[in-house]
Amino acid sequence: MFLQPAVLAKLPTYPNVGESVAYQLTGLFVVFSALGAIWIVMEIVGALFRRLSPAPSPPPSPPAPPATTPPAVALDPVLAAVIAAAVHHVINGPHRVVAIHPVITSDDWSLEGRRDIFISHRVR
Amino acid sequence: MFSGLIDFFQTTGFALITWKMMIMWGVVGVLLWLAVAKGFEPLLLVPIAFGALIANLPTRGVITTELQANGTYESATFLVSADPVATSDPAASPGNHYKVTRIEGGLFDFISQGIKLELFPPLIFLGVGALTDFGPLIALPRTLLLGAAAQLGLFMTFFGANLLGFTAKQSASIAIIGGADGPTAIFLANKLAPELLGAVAVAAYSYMSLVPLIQPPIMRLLTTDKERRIRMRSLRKVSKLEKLLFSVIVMMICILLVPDASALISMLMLGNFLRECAVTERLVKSAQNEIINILTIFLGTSVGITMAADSFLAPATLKIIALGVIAFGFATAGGVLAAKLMNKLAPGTPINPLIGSAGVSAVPMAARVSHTEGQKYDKNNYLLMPAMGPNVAGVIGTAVAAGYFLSTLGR
Repeated sequence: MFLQPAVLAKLPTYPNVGESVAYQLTGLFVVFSALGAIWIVMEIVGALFRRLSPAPSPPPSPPAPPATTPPAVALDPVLAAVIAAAVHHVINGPHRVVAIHPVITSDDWSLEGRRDIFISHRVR
Repeated sequence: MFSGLIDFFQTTGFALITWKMMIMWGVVGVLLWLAVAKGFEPLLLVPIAFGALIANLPTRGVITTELQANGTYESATFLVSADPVATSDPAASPGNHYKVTRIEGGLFDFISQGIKLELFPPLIFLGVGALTDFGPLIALPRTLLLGAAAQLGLFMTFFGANLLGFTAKQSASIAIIGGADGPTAIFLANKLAPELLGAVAVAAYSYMSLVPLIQPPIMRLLTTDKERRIRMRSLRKVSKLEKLLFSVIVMMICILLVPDASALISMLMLGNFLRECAVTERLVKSAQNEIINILTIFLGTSVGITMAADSFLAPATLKIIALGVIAFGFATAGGVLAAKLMNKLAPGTPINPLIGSAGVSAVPMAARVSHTEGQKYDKNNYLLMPAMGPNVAGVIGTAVAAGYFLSTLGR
């Protein structure tokens, strides 16, 4: 059904209907082979990744008691206004700011260093 | 004094204007109207139209065009003057060593070498890769088949072009319009049928800009109301390592299968790897902005400047324009029908057939068309991300098809 490479090399300048149809079928076969091969490989890779990835986290537990929440920080009303304005700008619809908590991480300093390095490499 | 004025007039460009040039000014006007007033692919149509205008003015020092013995026009040639150099090597045959003393040519004789030497399309693919998120395709890899099925348009058009009297090489160059991928169309046409480059590029980019008009009627014709309302599962999150592996795997498979597509595929995947590895921020920014923008200007104007009236206003151009829309139609139908077939074979995980049409490339417009069409029937159906899968698969599929044409016809 499909043309052999030797025949393909001799595809005439003006192929007849039979040659043209065979040429097209071969072309479609090549395209499907390439993309089909990628599909199979990516399915295998995807299955491996799904198996290796950690199990999905359990549904969120009920709110923790007040003692475990981040320590309360005196909130600057100007900061609260800025956050509310930003939320309004992004959401652009009815909204309510329920809580504002500081992000507490253990590697703030390394994050700052990384940010500094990236800024120094950015094209200005 | 009067004869002096006449002599002067003959040195001006007015004396060289022809009626064919004036027709081309109209064509340029239409392209500029589509780009500026309608917003259809302005980034490409504006440089192409401007290049076409330059080509149809009696310019000097811009581009050299010569009529070949076979009746076709060759542009972007330049003159190299060289003197023989005496060599002290007794083994060297005389006359083999020259010193270039002068190179004469117009601005676009040199800029257009980027197309002639096949530099611009792969470098634009570098930028395309840097701009493309393959995540939706990796999350739903079977949509690769939709990108493959949409290549049906290419091969059907090859057949049609053959019937209309084009040679096999010309037919392949016209057929690639159905891939809806401008750089690939230019890459292939320049290699197989450079005499058709201008018409092929204009048809490809014009139809890409008309995707929102061409595709929806075909999509509606081939799908039922129920099929258009199919909701697809939300896509899983794809890890960075998976994306990096995808770039490498796709490049290796495609190059091993069709080495002639190496330049396009390798640059596409290099751009994507730079994007996903997240440690080459400056390079990604350059690929996404400066490189692709500069090359788009050069590519567009270089293509437009091949649209000189004498070569463009030919019956072949009209045939190419007609075949282009057929190519797009069959490509759209191929993708939609393949999605329907996949639903028959795997009814448990249905695919909305509207995303099949996105397999024609034209990233991301074709995916947006799928999404918009889907929302007409179900306002809460979000098909954009699932449609990006076949959309980017179409880019890979078209590059592979171009590689097939090159490997079989380009020798």
